[in-house]
Amino acid sequence: MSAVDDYVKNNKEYALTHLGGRPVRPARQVAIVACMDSRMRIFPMLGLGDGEAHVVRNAGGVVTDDVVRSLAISQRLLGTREIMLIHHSDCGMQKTTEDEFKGAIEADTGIRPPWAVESFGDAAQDVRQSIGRLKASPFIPHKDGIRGFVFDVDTGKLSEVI
Amino acid sequence: MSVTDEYLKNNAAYAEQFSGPLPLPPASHVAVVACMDARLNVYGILGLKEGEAHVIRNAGGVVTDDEIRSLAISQRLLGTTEIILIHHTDCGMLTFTDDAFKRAIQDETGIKPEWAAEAFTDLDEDVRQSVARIKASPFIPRKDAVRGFVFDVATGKLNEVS
Repeated sequence: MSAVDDYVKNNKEYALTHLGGRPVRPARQVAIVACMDSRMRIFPMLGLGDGEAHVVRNAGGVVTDDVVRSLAISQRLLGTREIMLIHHSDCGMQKTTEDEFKGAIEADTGIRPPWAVESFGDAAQDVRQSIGRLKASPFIPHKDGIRGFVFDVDTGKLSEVI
Repeated sequence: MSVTDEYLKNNAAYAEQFSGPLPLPPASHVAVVACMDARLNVYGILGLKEGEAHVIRNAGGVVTDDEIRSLAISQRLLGTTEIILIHHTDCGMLTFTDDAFKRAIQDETGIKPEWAAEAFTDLDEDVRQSVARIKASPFIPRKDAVRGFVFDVATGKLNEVS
């Protein structure tokens, strides 16, 4: 049985206690942008309840056009106001470079991806980069409540990036 | 106190019971691609534990270049082999059109986003669209185990899209 079959089975149990009827608009008006890393369980990590906050995630938790798209929809259509950015220690994005990763794909497939890999060296520095991109975007209307953090995968703690 | 401050306080309690570190590659070799919707607690819905699976999320759970980037990193660098796509009922993406959303931004800011908003009208069809985009990408090496689901926000159940 594949892992996905296990998860589908887990879902049957989850549905027994699931409470429906919550509105589409996030109750706490927050959007979280975090890395996809498997060690960051965003809900318990922040004490998030169902229906409270949007959760946007990608490799690195970096701000790309797709994150700007998601946040524009989050703020303009669904009323969120605060943004929390979360990178973390021991990130996969620190283990490669643009040229190395794209070169490997090109060697395998003959095609070089037209997108940037968005690898980085220093997590805190990349959080600042992500905040800078959000502040520079004309498509995000609410920028007063943007804060950035690095999650420590050893201790489970968030440290704010100033 | 802002909501972000409240979540930081929750994190301090979380860290007290945290037992790290876990390895970087996801233990179950799965990557989940889901909508950012606040009612999708992906950990509860699938019974995911820390360290098991990558979780990639955006507005709609649609496959854009940023999802391809994240999945390429997930599979090529971090060894995942299965992909789960999750859309859901009562999605915000069902409530507007790309044209109207981009028009509203252009009217307000003078700038028309160069990206697609990725609104859709039929959930099953958009899951199939996302599966097809993954299958068509030269940058995703493992495509044998791509499965798509619609999460029912009323019942908590996942329904597979065939």
